[in-house]
Amino acid sequence: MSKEPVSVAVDASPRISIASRSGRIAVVAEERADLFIPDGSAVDEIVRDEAGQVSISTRHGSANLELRCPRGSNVRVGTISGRVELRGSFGEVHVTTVTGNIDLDEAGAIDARTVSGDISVARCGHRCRISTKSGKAEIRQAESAEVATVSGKVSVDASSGAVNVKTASGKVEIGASGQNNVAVQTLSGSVTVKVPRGTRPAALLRSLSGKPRCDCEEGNDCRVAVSTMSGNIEVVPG
Amino acid sequence: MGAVAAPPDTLVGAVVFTDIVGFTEYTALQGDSDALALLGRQEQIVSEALPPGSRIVKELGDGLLLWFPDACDAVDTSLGLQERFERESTESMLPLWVRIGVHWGRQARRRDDIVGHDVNVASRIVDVAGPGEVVLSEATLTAVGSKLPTVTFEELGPVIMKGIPAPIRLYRASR
Repeated sequence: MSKEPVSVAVDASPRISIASRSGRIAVVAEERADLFIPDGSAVDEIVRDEAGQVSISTRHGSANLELRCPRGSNVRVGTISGRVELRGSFGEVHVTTVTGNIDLDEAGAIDARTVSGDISVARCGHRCRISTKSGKAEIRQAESAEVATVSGKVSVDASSGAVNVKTASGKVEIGASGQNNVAVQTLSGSVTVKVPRGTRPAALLRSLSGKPRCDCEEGNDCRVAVSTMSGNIEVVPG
Repeated sequence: MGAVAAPPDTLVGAVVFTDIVGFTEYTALQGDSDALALLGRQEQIVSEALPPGSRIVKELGDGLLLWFPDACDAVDTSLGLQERFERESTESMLPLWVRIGVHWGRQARRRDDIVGHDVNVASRIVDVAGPGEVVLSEATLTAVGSKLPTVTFEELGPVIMKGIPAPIRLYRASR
């Protein structure tokens, strides 16, 4: 396609699918009614199927792509390398990459997976599911969180719902609501779970060689289950 | 000139790869003996769950290559395995954190082994799955059709995999 900007008419809350082998992908959800690509030469093909989904592939499978779409758009991105950035407020988001970092502002639901990249989510209204092998996984706020890493650090700053984490050796830090359950399984990473002051969690802490510690008065406000082979565990008021 | 090779002996079925997440770290922490026990437990659980006609094709380090003649059996068994692995991980300290990838297609038989493009695709799909997940290809979903009404399939989107020319739509199965 030429370097001219491209505008595509879309439904409200459209479904957009982007496939690219490499290159940075930046998607901005903003107050607008169309799907807009400032540089059309980044795009190889745009296809709209019968169900209304717009599928975009990049030029030669490799180009930096900037795309602007309506707020609430549902976006799926598949790439091998290259940073993926989603700015603004989205509906459902699915991102799969191998080596690129994934940086997401806000979405209703998120599924993001990479092998060696970092994943950062600012805010997720419902379920936030992220997975990386060696990168860092960071969720600042989510309704519920499911996180898996092998060696990357995991941090969930605030979650109003359940939190589920599996990691082989990454350090884990969780800010729990104190009303929903937290489950962490790790082999060797240290685990810190902060619950609101005054919360009385049922703490089920198991460590074969590490030191488990709960600094809160125990009760039944929520269940905090952490198991690790060798890492230290602490449940603290915060 | 030599004789023209006979067409390969082909199969149509579902290829399933399993892979234990964190196996290297577990081995480093616990030693070879415990690592072998973990592999043995995975294989035992899988062997017990396999329906008639399906089989373990081979062991691949910390994973297994399985073959199923029926796509529904492959997906249903994989989900059942994840439930079993999860129970085992929670009840014991055994980290059976297994990811599973499923792809329906054609495979060439090489003695007891299976090879070919569709086997390679299946091996890439398992890389996309997280621990506890079953991820499958669109080809598998098409072969399943509406025969697993209690299973939910969530589209992950177009997934680009190294060595595979075209993007593949993948789905996360759950119930």
